[in-house]
Amino acid sequence: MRKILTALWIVMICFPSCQVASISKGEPVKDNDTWPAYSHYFSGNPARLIFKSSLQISKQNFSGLLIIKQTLPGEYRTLFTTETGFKVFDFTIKNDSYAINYAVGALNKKFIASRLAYTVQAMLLREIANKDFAVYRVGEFSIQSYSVGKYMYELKRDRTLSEKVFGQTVYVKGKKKAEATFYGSKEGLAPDSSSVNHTGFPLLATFRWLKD
Amino acid sequence: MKKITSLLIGFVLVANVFAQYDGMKPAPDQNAVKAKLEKAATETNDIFAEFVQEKNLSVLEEVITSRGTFHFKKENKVRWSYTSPFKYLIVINGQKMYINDEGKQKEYDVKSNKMFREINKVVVGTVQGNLFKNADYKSEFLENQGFYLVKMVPVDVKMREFLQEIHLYFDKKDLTVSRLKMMEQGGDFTLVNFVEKKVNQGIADTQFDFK
Repeated sequence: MRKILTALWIVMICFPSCQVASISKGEPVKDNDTWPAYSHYFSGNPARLIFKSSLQISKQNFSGLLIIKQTLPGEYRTLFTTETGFKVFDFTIKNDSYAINYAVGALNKKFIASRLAYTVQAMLLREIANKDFAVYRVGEFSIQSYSVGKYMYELKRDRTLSEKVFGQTVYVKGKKKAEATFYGSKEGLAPDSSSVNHTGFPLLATFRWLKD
Repeated sequence: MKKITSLLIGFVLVANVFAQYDGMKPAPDQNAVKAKLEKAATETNDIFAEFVQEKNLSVLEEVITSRGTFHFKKENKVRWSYTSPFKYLIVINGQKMYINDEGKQKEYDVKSNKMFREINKVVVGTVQGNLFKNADYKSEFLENQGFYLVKMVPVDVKMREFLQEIHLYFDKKDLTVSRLKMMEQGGDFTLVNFVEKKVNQGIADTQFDFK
């Protein structure tokens, strides 16, 4: 019994992601401060998006291209290949779930593949339609949150720059999973690049949009 | 009218490029082709070429194209440089591998890592054109009028999970690799076409420095 309690204590200390995250600490605002339209990656209806990407999972590094194609509204096929062409993973990403079509041996484990899926869900700045939003103010930022199934997303933007989105955080069943920070966002354009880090998991990813 | 003519000419040229790799039949004397390619490989001291890489994914209608240059020099020196649409450099020099990923530089000891040993074997064996001598692959020799095709299937089942077959196309004129096709499970494949090849023209060792 003592052993079990010790093990439980270690798990709780070592894996802070197991704790339920505090969501949207800020001053709730009324409807008159609505979240304006923002520029997402599919604004111009591209056939596909390509990002020069790097993934650092613990001590393993992968670099290559992340290719994203919208297959249905709210559904995306996302493939990661090395620069030399070897496929690393192929996921179908939805706003509230993911499916693994392929993952190379070392990544074909549920606890890693799920984190890769959350990574893509966090970096994929996309249009979210027909959702109920809650908007909060935190300092200079506004945070908009919405729920889709067991998922919750938070979008962070500078209140002075209506279209500029700075970050997107993914929560699953109330637990914070992945957080993207966007860079090089200009008025009217989606961000040039992003980085994603995880709570309680050693995965750091970077993405740079290769525009045509 | 001018546009239509240009399109037609373009179509014929593209169709020609693909057609030259068509109509492959098993070589009647497999050992003779193997011996010819092995001899050419021993006589090849260096190769420079430009390459066009096309990633064909079943989910996309279009191919993802990247370009660059490669240098090979005996023994075991390779410089594989992607220049468009991203910058990525792999240098193999003996037992060392160097990667420069848009300014992020890393050095690896090929011997210490099984994955890098495999990459080294495949890359060096491909550009030198003697990968088929490797016992890790089962090879079959085919030919048409202008090319030899060596179809290689990895013996290791785990390897076949991410690389089902490698196809090496050798130009019968100079017996160097003109095209490399790497096929994955599910029908996706990568094509690398080598153009503007220069064989045995001399390449400075400094091309393979880690910088």
